[in-house]
Amino acid sequence: MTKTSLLTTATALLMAIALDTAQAGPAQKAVLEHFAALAKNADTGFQGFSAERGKKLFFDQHSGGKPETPSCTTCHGTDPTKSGRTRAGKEIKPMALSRTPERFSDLKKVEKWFRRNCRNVMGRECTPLEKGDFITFMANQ
Amino acid sequence: MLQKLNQSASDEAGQQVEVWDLPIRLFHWAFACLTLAALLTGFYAPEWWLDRHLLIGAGLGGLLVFRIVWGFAGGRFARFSSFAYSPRALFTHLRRMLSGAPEHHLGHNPAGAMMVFALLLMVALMGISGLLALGGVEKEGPLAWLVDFESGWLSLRLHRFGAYLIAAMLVLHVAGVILQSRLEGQNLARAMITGRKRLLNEHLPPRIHKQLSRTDVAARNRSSVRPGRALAFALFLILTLAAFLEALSGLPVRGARALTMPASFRSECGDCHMAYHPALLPAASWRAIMDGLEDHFGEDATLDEAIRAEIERALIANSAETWDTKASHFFRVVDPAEPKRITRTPGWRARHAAIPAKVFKQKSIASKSNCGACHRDARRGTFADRHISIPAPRPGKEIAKASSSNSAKERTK
Repeated sequence: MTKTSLLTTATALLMAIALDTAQAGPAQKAVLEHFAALAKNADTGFQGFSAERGKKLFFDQHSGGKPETPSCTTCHGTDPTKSGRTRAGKEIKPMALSRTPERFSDLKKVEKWFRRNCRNVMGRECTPLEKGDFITFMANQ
Repeated sequence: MLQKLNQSASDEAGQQVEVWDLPIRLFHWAFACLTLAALLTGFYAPEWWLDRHLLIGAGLGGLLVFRIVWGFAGGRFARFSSFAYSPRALFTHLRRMLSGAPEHHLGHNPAGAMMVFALLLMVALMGISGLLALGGVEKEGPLAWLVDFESGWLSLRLHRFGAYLIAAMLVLHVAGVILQSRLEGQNLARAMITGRKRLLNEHLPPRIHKQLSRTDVAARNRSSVRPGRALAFALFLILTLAAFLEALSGLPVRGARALTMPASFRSECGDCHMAYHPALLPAASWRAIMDGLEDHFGEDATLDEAIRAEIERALIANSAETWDTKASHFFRVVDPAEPKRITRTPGWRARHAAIPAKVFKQKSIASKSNCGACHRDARRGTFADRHISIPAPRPGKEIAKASSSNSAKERTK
């Protein structure tokens, strides 16, 4: 890595973290840093995560996934601060970090659920950018 | 009352004499009420009334023990020896009854006596078949350590058949009382309340007292031992029996065991749905499910291979074939078209057919796959009738808003 690319990465990381992630604890920040580095790798023009984009991702009706689950809201509900429900009837704790502070703290778990649920909803895996946006949005809620 | 009887020394027809002592009258009506209650709860009550049905059965058991003690120690007419007629006596009685020249007995006549013995025996057999069914099918009660599912299931069918038989016997019993009341010109059902019957000239004394005059018999209508002692003895027997059955109930259950699964089973399977007890599907179904997690009932449920294999191994090691519980027997036969779905097995469908769809749709249940919403013991895999509790549907209020969360209006929020 050159000096400049290191600098841009550091800037991007700082931006990502400086962004309003009020609810994020150190564990969530580490997860976000992980995705920021990956996003930077994928796109050198990475400018940090956006809660706005994460919000759109969460509420949008997607296509390409399984017909039963066209949107995140199918199971998580339309209010991230409230509980959702799996199709089998089990409660899903609120996605908002303000309500479920332990969310997005275990990278392995985070990756498992993004892998499964992005495939379910969009028929593909999510990009690091999308994952970071999503977590940033939830950290704001 | 005995005093009064002792005074009535004359041998005049038309006199009221006490035939049924107080304990036997109390027994009769308690036994009648509990038998009816057992039939009603057995035939009409929902599964989760099994507790009450069992309580009624326990009551009948206690009454039976009392009746047997009283059959040896009670009043003359309560004692078995006073109405143990020979088959020939029964035959003669029936023949004379039909020919219009009936015999009259102060106590039980041979037909009535036959009914007393038959009903006592049948109710005893119902208790035994009921406990066998409870043990084998529900895996509960004093015989759960002994009976396998198949035997329990057979017992349940015999128990059901016995219930019809008892219902028929009760009809016959009442018909017999009405007929005999007409022939004697007195209300015999009332005699079972007051205890007294009007003495008829035609009345024969009970078989064993032929040498005595009829009023002698009435006067001697008292216990062979002091009634208090007999009752205390009956109570002692009942409590001993209850303690014995209670002790048996504590023995390890046959064909069921405590389930041990890896921690990953609860965390991985239990994140989206209840972690179904492995006894709810056969090994082949579990294999198919764990080999197809990319499309797990319409969702991606992929796992790390190590965890997937660990869970699959545990599921197969504990699959339906390895248990003898009710649920394992109901669900081990799957729908060939949908071998992965518990709710499509013939056993599941037959047992939930009577439940309206709106019950499943209500918010507190949400899905047919949410076993634990109604079966409080779902995690243990026992699915005992006693632990069923279906939340009452409240139409319009409780019904889940089916995927209304997808509406475009709410999306832009």
